[in-house]
Amino acid sequence: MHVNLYLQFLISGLTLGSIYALIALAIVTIYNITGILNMAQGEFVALGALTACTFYSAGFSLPASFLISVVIIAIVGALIERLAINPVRNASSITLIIITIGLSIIIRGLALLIWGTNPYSLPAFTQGGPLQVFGAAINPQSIWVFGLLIVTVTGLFVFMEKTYWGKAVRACVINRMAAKLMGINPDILSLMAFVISGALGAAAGVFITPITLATYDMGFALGLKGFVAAIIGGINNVGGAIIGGLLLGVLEVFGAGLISSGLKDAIALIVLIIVLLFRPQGIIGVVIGRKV
Amino acid sequence: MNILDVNGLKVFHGHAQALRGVTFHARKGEIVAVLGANGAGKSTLLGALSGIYNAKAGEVVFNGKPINRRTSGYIVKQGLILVPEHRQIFNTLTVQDNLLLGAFHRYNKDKSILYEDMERVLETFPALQGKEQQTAGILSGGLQQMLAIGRGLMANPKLLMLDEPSIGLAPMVVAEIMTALRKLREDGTSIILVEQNAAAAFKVADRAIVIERGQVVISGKPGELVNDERVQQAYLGRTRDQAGTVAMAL
Repeated sequence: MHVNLYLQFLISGLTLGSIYALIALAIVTIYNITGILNMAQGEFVALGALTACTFYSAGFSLPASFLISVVIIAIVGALIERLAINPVRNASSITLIIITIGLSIIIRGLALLIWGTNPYSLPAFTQGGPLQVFGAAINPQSIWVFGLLIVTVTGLFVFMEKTYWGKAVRACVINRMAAKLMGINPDILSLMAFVISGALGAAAGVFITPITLATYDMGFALGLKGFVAAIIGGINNVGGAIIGGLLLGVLEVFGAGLISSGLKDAIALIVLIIVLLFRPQGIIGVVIGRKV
Repeated sequence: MNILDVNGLKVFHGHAQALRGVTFHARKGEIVAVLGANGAGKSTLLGALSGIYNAKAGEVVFNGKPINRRTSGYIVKQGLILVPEHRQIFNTLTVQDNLLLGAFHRYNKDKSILYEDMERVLETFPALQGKEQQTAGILSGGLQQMLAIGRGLMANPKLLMLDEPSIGLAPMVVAEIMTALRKLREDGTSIILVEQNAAAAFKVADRAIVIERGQVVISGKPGELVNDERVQQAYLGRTRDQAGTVAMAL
């Protein structure tokens, strides 16, 4: 088999992995700040993509459709946090996970009612054919997706490491009770986490639509893969989420290309089982223990 | 003049009643020691005063304002600050970040003077000087305790509550911390000091209360309490004959 083919697989895998990494980043951000595993993160991606398609087909420009979609889904994230999460914030983690699964089903049902089963599309952000690199073809939209990942990671890094509010968020992640005693309000940070995750999900949805198209049920598989990526990396680790996402994307494409395309989705679950069996804290996650 | 009045405070953890009508007060500029065995309700009392636990009944007035059922954010803004048990510093952040986060509630208002305040805290605890950029988690236990108190001081407390600051520390470090507390009192900060180390607490306290099973059972000046047989047996590990030595030391 030609080396160019492997390169092609790697590039496709990194593109797919960037999408997973973006979703995993949002899941990890919410988990770190609130302790909640948001199983509805994939629906933010779907809602973002479909909303942008609606505005674009109504005559708005692509950048305007993108911005409107990001703002709307950020508001949806805020509403979900205030109406469904905040009132039961002291419930057990299993209750909160079930709530987010319920939200995911509700959002998918509403999306089906609003947008139906037909796929929607957006034009590629830059026109022109694929770029040729060492014989492999790179879709320019893939570069946009990868760019979004880099911008998001850089933005999160600068926010967390260099800003006072970012350090307040980290303080809350390290020790919620002590943060409260400093006057840091975890409720506000929880709201902020859902707003960021809504916006991030919507942005990811818009960026991938020119490659994958947008459907009402696209969020389920994406959310699941993002969740697997977050677990692979270590659920509380931002760096791990990125590595987990990229690794999962590459494994999926290589598995589909070299073994069988029917195995694509199974690979994510096989990797999840292997990681949970042999390294449950994730590739670079740390074991979270509790003194007894 | 009282800075804190607590009347009939009752707190439950689930069905278990942790505080059974605690009543006491703290005057401005004094150190009140709170003694009690494990599980007596000392930490619950501080948690309830700082808004971590909701009181089922009772009244708390701080600096003339009722603070019952207020959020911890509101209580911090009023100047009632808790330095929690086991230090609970933000261990992966730097010493400087820990201190600056202590001033969270006034960050937007007083940003320009935060660094001056931090210098003052470092003067109170010179052992922390030069370690501002170190990760807090790698500091020794004593330095972490000083950092935890320093973080509390960055909030500009009117009343600082400390939950067992001497726990697990060497006697020299405890002495250093107690010296810092005396200095804070001289500067006008009121202090509530929860301790199991009664001997150390009596050396700095103006008054003391003893809590047993969620109630205040004894209160008075350290010189009086040191002669109380219950205090001697439970907290000083001494007989009545030995108590005179302690009383003289005070």
